[in-house]
Amino acid sequence: MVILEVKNVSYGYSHGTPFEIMALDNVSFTVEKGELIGIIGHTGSGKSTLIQMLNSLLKPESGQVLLEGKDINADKASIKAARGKVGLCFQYPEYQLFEETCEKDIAFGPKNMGLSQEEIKERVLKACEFVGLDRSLLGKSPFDLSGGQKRKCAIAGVMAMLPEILILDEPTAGLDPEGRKEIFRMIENYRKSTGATVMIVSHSMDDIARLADKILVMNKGRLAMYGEVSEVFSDADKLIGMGLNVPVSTFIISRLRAAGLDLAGNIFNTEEAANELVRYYKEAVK
Amino acid sequence: MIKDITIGQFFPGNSLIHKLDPRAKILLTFIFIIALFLSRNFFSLGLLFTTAIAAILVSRISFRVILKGLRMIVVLVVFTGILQLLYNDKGDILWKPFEQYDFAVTEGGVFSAVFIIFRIIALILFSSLLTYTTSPTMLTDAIERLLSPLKLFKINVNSLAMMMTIALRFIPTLIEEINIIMSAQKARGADLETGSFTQRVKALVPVFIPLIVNSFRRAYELAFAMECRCYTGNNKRTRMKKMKFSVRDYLVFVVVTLLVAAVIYTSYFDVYPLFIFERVV
Amino acid sequence: MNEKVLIEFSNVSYTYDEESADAVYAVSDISFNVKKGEFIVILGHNGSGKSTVAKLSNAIFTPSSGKVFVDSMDTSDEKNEFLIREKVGVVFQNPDNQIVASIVEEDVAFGPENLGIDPDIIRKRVDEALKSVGMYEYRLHETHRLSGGQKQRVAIAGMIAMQPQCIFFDESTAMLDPQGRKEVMNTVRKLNKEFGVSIVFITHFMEEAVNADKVIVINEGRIFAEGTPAEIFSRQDMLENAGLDVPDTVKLASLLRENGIPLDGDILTEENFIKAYLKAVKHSA
Repeated sequence: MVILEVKNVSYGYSHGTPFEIMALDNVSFTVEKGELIGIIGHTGSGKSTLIQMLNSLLKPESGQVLLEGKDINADKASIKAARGKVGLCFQYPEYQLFEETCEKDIAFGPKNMGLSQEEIKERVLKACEFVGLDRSLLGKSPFDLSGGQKRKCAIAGVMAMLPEILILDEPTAGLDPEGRKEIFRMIENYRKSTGATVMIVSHSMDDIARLADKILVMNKGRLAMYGEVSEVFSDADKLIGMGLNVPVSTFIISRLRAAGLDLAGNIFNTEEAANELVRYYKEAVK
Repeated sequence: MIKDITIGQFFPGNSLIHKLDPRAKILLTFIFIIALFLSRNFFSLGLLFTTAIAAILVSRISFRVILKGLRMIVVLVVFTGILQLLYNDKGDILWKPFEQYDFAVTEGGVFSAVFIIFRIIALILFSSLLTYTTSPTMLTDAIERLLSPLKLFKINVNSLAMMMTIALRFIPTLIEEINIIMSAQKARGADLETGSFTQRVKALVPVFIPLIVNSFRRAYELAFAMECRCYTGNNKRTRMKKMKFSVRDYLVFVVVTLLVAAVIYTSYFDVYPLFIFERVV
Repeated sequence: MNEKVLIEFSNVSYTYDEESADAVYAVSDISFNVKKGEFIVILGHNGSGKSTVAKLSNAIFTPSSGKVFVDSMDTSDEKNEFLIREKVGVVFQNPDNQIVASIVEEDVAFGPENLGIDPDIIRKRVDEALKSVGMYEYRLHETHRLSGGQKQRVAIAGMIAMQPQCIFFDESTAMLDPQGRKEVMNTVRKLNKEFGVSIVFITHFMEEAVNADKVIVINEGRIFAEGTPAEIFSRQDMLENAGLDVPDTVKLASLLRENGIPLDGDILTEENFIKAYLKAVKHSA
């Protein structure tokens, strides 16, 4: 079932100044319910503008964003509904914490949605579960938490709204390997228990390759590629041409293929690559 | 959107205006502003206005940018214009919309409204030309040097200038940050645009608290970075850019002095028939 | 390589609250040397104490116990402060919070201006510094319009203009996109190779360690392991215990070796791997 449809959306910044840019140029795509979509593209490719279109933080200059078939910018009520249904977690979300306690901060979204006290409480606890934030921290000031805990608290604040589409802009920015794994665990938890659609903006192709069902590639404000992971990464040269990386194993395999080795093409993680390279070697020995 | 503000921005370039000594530019801007207030007829105002346009042409700042900057003050200009129309009752009556009221649009009103509008626009042109063609650091450097006599009164002009430099440097950063925080809170359903005045002020708490907290963090980090670059607050600092009045600067001063003389002469000594109504401001 | 020791950390411990009896130490009992021209990478997860090391190197922090010497000068001695900071620069994590001026060249001039250097010499140094990081064409640009990688290169130029012998990079790539990280890494390598500046690069990105002369792993404030990149990356368990990860290329190579494929030499980069694999295949045939 199509949950989200972006139709011919265009948007520009700073019209009439020397810094004018066309951030989105006639972008169209659809998203199926329950999919995990990785959004890639280098800085300035229009990714950030695109995701802010999806919950009406920015409004298309032309084109439409349809959520469950309805234009999210139709009227005030539909905008409000879109903000509840499409949860958007910005980069470095810990820098947007503001409440006296973590509990109140996580409750901010649900409160704005006009939920009852009990329901808010329930959602706060649920959100803590998703992100693995210790309940004993709820009474603490978010500013007293460690860096990692702050990010958990901030992501919990978005998850507490129980959005049907959860969008995260580089949720792992600035984190070490352990921290990155933790974030992906949270997202997995959330998806499993809510069946939500998730969109992740990331620079890490290896993470995207491991997690995503589909990949959406932005380049210079245009939708450059959109499809299954194998489909997108099989065109490694095109991605590299756009200044993007491909997963390490994909890169190595494609270079070896270019050197004339007869290796399978659609390989995106280390284990698969190892198997394929071992297979090829053993056959070569024979 | 806040991002669209161009007033106070700097557009690097290599024009004569860019190359003038920033101290000269500050002083000249003040002289022009004073001249604008001294001017009392269309001849002298026209002279100053033409100078402003000529200066913009020389600076090669595009008129689109200039117009964009002027857009910010349209309300102010229109409002002042209307006030002039309403309050000036000199000269022939041109239009009397309501028989029962005293109010009428007079020749004097129209003249003074047009006059005031052009005066304000010229004022904005001169002052934005200063910021468009002078880097913020050069501007503060120049102010620092112009204010250096204050050192005699034990005022730490260097620290003041440093503060100004940093403030200017961080304005765009903070504007960007406000935009991000506002978007992030809106994404969590915060309503920043509707409601009564108090409701709206209250709604800004989730924006301002993170902004302040983040600014302290920035300040803390910046302090370390500055210490690493040997800043102590009471260094005897030198400057890479020397400021020296050149022939260019002196020549511009001569031209401007002649211009101001013309403004004063036509406004106060010679009775130019172009603006027959008394000064209204 | 010149064996001259430039910076010496000798049993250094540091705590943020010295008053308290049960103080938590950000780093404890750390000892290592930085030699002239050396490229050291310090690896550690967030909160491992690795960032404190940078601030101890140039007398921003002074050790709670132990000593740090820069060119034989004790960092605890206040009168050395300026001389030390001229010799040892630090580039921090957040590109926005270390740029002082609105215009690129004016920011680069900030350090030399603080040192009271003659304007003409500053001009020369600023131009040279900007050229060395490839930002000379941007000298008149506004700093806030630059990309993250460009901002960090300006910050690096700001250090170069002070003509330091060593630069610490305190997670300077953590907030950058892959493009920015590449720009910074290339600049850092160039400074090390062409200008002989010693580099201490603090990071949690494992790929950034592959070109180092020496890798130091820090965990819970202590030195956990030390060695060449190849030695360090061969110890996958140790790295995982330290909350770190092995680069995918290294992982791939070790999986292949476990399966009996003889890959020659140290495999740290994709290039190494491709060469070694092709060679192995050729030999077997």
